[in-house]
Amino acid sequence: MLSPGRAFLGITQAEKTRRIMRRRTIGIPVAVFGASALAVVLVSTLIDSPPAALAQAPTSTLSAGDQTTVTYMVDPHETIAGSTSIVATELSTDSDSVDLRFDLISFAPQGQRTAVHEAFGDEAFFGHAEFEGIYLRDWVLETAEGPIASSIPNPGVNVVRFPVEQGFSLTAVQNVTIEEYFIATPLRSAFTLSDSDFAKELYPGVSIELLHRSDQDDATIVQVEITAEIPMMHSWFGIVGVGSGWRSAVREAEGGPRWTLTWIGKDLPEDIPLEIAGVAWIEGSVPLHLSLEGLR
Amino acid sequence: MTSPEDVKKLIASPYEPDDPKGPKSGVAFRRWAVPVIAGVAGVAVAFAFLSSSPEPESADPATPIDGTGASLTPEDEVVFVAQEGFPTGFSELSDTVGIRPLMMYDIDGRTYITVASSVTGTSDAAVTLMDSVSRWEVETPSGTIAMEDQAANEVAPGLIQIGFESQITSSAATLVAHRAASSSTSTIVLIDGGPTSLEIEEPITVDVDGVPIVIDSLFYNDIWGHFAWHSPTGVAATVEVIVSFLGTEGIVNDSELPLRMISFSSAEVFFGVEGDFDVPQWNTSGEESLDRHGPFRYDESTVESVMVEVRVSVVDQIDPPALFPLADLFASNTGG
Repeated sequence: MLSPGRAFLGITQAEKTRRIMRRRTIGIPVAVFGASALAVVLVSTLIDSPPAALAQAPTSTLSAGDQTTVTYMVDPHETIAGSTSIVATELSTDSDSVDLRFDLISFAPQGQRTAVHEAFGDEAFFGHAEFEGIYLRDWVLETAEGPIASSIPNPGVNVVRFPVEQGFSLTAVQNVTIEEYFIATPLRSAFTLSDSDFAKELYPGVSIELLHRSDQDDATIVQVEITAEIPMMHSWFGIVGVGSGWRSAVREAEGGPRWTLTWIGKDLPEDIPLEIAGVAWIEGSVPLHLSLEGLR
Repeated sequence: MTSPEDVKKLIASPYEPDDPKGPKSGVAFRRWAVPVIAGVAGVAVAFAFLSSSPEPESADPATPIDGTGASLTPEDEVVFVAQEGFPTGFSELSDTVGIRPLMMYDIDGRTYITVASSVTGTSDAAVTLMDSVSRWEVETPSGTIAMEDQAANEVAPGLIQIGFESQITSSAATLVAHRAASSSTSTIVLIDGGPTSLEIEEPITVDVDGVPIVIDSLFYNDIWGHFAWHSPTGVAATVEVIVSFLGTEGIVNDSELPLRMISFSSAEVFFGVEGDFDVPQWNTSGEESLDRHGPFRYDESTVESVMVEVRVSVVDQIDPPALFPLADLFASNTGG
């Protein structure tokens, strides 16, 4: 198992290379004849100073041309998606999988949300309090033996498992990429449906279709159905009619894709005015590279 | 609630020592440690040199794994610094909130832009309120495209979706935010002692600190309701209507089930608790359905009176506009 360790954290690749080369070239004679004097100087220096890794932090004296400053919100090896930091926390293996665990930490202002949870309780109406609003679904682990794809079946799961053969070594792991991910996004848009223009795209990956429009004695019943090529949470949004003639809009059932709307009277316009409002997963199109450096 | 100290611990780098003045940095430690360690150091250092080898856990310097996708050469020195301001890519909307255009898509001749927001690196996200923007625009070389609507939601904190009336096709376009610096709110009793079912199609104008807001239509019955409004002077506002069926509260019927007061409202009212929890979604016109709130059984004979209230907030001061280029969205069409 590789886990975050302070021994390597903070030492750059360049510094590590220099240290290795330095050790190789100085050699045994110097060690034998200079050991005592060197040790006194070395120990005194180490005790008066912070560890080398810490001393390299922002006050490094290297020339500007050699130095790259990387700022971070939560962790030096974070990847940012939307308003969330993604941080790999553990890479482990068992007999048939490599497991990568990660944290999702939002840095969006959440004062309103905090107020809601304090007023009504964390989970009574609004789902899990720690919900981070991002779903990292499809992953690819690049290894010395080739790429390994995997998916996380549901939002809220913070571990991805890559299938491997027995005996797979973590030293073969090279890189990890999040190929498909979704961000929970507020949504509100008006649209129309008609018998001749009966299907519309609501937002990328999600469409709505007019199934029925039936006149009754004193009302018109409209039924629509949503189809999605991407994950969606039906309970997060509503389909409502636009205008004062509407009397109700009812979702088929919890999780169901159909909505039934009632218009009072027979004067429902040919172009039926509707609106979607709520929150939906919207797909990001840029693959995210997740750093494993914090684990090495 | 997360405290500022908790957030500081959360955002602290793992490079940073938990206690920089730990026992090994003290003068007393140096007094005994130097002679003792020096005595054994010769052997230790010699052993260290003899046994030195490349560290097996290190990554290959030629193939760095970096979250940003940047390639660093072995000669580069990387210094990690905890962010004090807004993250890279986010620009200031206010002192406490930065935003970044995140995603953009076109549907049915309109363009929708989603912005993500951030607190500063030294702020507590849990207690920082999202700023509200009274008006968004997109400036392009050929003119200004006005906001049609904006949406925010507690389920997706920090994100706002803005709908524009036409497509945005120029990569030179800039998103312009007019932040609401202050607003005033008034609750006006529109109808006191009204019937249990009502439909008004004649406009009703209410005045909020000198700003007229027109209720274009209002309908309600014992099932639901609807209203439409607009701001004739173009001042951004939010409008809520609350219809209360008075006289039913506290009544117990034969089965001992309490009858709850019927209330139809566009406001955030949950089981009798009311509050302003959402980021205000300012606009100059709108229409809303009035939804029932709370479990209830309805018995018209118990209704003593119906009261209709309108709660209106108007923006009375806006900050200078903040500008956010959209070129990155044209390069990727979405954010990461």
